[in-house]
Amino acid sequence: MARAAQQGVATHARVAGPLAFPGRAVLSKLRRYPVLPGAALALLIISGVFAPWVAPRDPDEQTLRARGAPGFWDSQWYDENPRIEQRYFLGADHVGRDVLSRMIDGARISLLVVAVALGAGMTVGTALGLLAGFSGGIVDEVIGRVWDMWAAIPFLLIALIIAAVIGSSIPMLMGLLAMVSWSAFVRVVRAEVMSLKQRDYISQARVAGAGPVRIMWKHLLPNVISTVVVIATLRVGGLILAEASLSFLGVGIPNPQATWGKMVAEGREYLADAWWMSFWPGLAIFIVVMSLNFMGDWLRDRWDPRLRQL
Amino acid sequence: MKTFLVRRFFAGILSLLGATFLVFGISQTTNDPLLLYAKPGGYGVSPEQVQALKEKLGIDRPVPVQYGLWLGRTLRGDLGNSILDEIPVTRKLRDRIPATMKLGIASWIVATLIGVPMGVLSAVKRATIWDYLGRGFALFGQAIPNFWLGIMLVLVFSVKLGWLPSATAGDGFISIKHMVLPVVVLGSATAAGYLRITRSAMLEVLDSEFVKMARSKGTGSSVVIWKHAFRNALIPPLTVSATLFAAFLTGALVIEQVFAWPGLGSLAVQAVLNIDFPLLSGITLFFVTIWVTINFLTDVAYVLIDPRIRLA
Repeated sequence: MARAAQQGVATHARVAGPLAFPGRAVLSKLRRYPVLPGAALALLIISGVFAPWVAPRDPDEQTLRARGAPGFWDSQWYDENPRIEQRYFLGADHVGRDVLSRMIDGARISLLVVAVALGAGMTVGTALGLLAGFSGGIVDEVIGRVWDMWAAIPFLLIALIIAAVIGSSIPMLMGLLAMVSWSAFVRVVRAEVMSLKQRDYISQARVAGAGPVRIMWKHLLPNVISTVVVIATLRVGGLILAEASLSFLGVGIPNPQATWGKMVAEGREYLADAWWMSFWPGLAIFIVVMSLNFMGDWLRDRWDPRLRQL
Repeated sequence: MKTFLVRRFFAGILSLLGATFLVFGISQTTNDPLLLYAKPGGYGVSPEQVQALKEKLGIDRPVPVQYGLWLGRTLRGDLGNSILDEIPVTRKLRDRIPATMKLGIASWIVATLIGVPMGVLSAVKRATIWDYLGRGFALFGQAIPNFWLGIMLVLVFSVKLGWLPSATAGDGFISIKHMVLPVVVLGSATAAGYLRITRSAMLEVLDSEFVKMARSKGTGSSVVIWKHAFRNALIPPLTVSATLFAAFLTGALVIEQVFAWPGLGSLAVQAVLNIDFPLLSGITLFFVTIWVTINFLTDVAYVLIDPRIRLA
């Protein structure tokens, strides 16, 4: 696997060779570092964190006069409706709320939900992986069986049922998404730990009197952390899609809070008259997930090429 | 090998029980199914009536007992009646399964026909325009929210151009016109998965000694690619079908909703929104059974196709 990754780098270099034009240096930088995805994600995080200051309008403010107002691409509409002074950059929805502001507001909540879910799943998954790999035996067996069982459950259906029956709320959604995210970490961390624990330094730590908790925390965890980060970056896109799907099905974050998935769903009914209601939020999901996948691939190739088969 | 398969088999059964029990437990944590019949403090339902209803639905007993009873009935082929319209769950499932199957099989064929050849092409013509196209497609397919893709295709092909219908499965056994859009949406994500896996498997095989050997003794390039490399690269895409099928099932939940497709996915969403728990348990049972079966078959295929694979 590592060899394949190295070859990947080599072919990239070869391809960059014949491109002899002034922008070449820029292009090869673009190829080597995920500049564009990085910029997209930075933009997302900044607008998410500073949502109230970045958003051009109040995301929940309804202006009936601006119902279904188009965005920057249709200046004719604004000429015909001179009473709307400030343009809606990405258009307005069916009750005259600003699509861009709602998207920025939605980014904030989605970021929060996904970050908490991923953090929780990462912690639990890594801990279980460490435990299974380090202790082996019955503990490993139990964790393995639970994992098997979990992997055989169609998550979206279960999440849908839980959210619909118990009622959806932000903590509930975080919990549900954490339940999807943990399993990705267990197997890989376990395999890694199993090979690490054969090393001399672990036996030496043991001889020096370190207990199992100390060995796991101080000697094993730092060695698997890069793998964990890589998996997290590879998984976060899927979580965003899962959150958007749940929102789309109507069991995500409760109203009136805007989320991207919900905005796409709302816009569906007005597709013929106001395509921008669905188009922009969906495009945002797409760009963010794609950027995250890019980042994940890049990090993996850099830090942990052995994970390539994932 | 036998112990491995036996273990996987029991793990599968366990998953089945676990998932249905989970759904069962959740459905009973609230008394909501009752409220479908009788809203308290509004419709004048007496406590006696509520009690009678509870007894009729069997939800006055503890959850494990109910689950045991349900399991017993299920083994005899009776999934109970839907709360909403009293139609037997088995009949509801039978009505809806063909539509989902049609969609699933068509998407899977499309995904295989697109994903696998494109993966081979992109590995063989590595670092050329074909490779970039293939990888671009894979990135697209895995990042695009499928419900959004569906809606946008409806916008272009149904609303703007008026070429294709936007919803339902149409009349007759198979209506190609109605199938195009949902199949494209469901197929593209799966195709992207196949492409990625085929590509990396092909790359690895093409780099191996026996392929170099075949090349160096002068075997024609297409024979090397298809006979030597492709056959060996087929294992990962074959065995990963289960995960892709998983993606398909969850995809169906959402996509059937987008296209008002009369399949299990939309039935599931309806059942969820109505908290129709006999129906929910039935659907979960069906989905998880298929899921577990495919996972198990994958494990068998693993062992059969490539005995070298470590039986973890």
